[in-house]
Amino acid sequence: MKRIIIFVFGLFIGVIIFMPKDNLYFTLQKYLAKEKIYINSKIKSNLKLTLYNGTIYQNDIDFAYFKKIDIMPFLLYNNIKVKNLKINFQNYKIKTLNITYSILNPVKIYISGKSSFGIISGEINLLKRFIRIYILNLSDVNLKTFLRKDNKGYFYYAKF
Amino acid sequence: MQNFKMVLIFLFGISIGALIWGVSMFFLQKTPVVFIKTPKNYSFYPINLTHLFFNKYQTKTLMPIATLKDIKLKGVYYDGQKGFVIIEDKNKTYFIDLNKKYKGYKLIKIALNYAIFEKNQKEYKIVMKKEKIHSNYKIINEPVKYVKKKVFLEYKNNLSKIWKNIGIIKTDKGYKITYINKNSIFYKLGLRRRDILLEVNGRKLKNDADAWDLYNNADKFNQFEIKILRDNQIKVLNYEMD
Repeated sequence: MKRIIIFVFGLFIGVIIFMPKDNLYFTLQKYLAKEKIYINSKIKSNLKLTLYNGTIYQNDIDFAYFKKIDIMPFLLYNNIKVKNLKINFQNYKIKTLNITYSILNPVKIYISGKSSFGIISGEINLLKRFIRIYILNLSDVNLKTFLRKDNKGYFYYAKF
Repeated sequence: MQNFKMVLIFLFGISIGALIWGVSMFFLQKTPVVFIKTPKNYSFYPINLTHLFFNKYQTKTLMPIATLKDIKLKGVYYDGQKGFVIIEDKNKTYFIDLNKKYKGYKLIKIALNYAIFEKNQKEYKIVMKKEKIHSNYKIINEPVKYVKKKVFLEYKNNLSKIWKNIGIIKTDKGYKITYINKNSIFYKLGLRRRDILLEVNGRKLKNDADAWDLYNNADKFNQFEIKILRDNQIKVLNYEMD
């Protein structure tokens, strides 16, 4: 039993260390390109994958710019940190955005962040297949058109 | 000795991890996908090419006209040079421009109550049912209105000013106007509450990306042809920049 645990631990470490993050990212790019979504950026990978000074295009339109995205795929704990994302629409800026998926709660992906239009806090429920993202202290009235409201505040809701 | 064995098992686990990724490398993309943005130029030149088409149809030998049973003709628009038809196929409505293809059928002719498509040298005719000519979409081409470029750019460069005066939501058919300020330029230009924006300059507004692209490139146009759905009628609003 002890040998199996040590083998699995070694395997886990090996999978994380030798994970070809660049190639996995390129493969993701390839699939996104089929949906006409492109991410142009500089990349750097070690234990985590970092994208620098990137532009996101959708249908030939430069949809957003970002300064840095850190992707940490540690299997049991996965995290994406976005810094200084500027959406090319009314100059919306997201200062920080954290997307976290942990094995401790495998059905939920947590989202949190700070933006020019409010504090972002929400979740993606993989089991019930919905996205609910609250925009707390909403400072932009124009966004209200796209949001729903409950006791907690305005939120974006979508099913997938 | 026992510890050495454990270290070996641990290293074996690591090497298996490396091997898994080594094998998977055969299936993964090896080079990045880079998007190269090419600048779009929108230019319109009024060129009459009807004589070319006229000669073409004179010399063409086509097979006998057949009918397309599954497709219903719901509306037509033709001003002598350009036009489109509205068809219904499996309870979905589509707008087909003249000389464009739908499921391989090219729209080659538009008449008052019928349209002719061509596929593999064979012509297919869709006739609008009599009772539907007036009950369904009727197309009204509005006269040209002139807009000051300065006023237009003022709105284009200040999106919050747009949202203060007009509210839109996405529907299955297009973008529906939910609110419009009666003192705004939009109202003066003829847009009304509950209008559904279908197309702008021949481009269908199917999703946010289309609308967004149009917004980003709007200042490159000198004329606008906005197709709207109002009270079961299709209106074509024409604007020119002063």
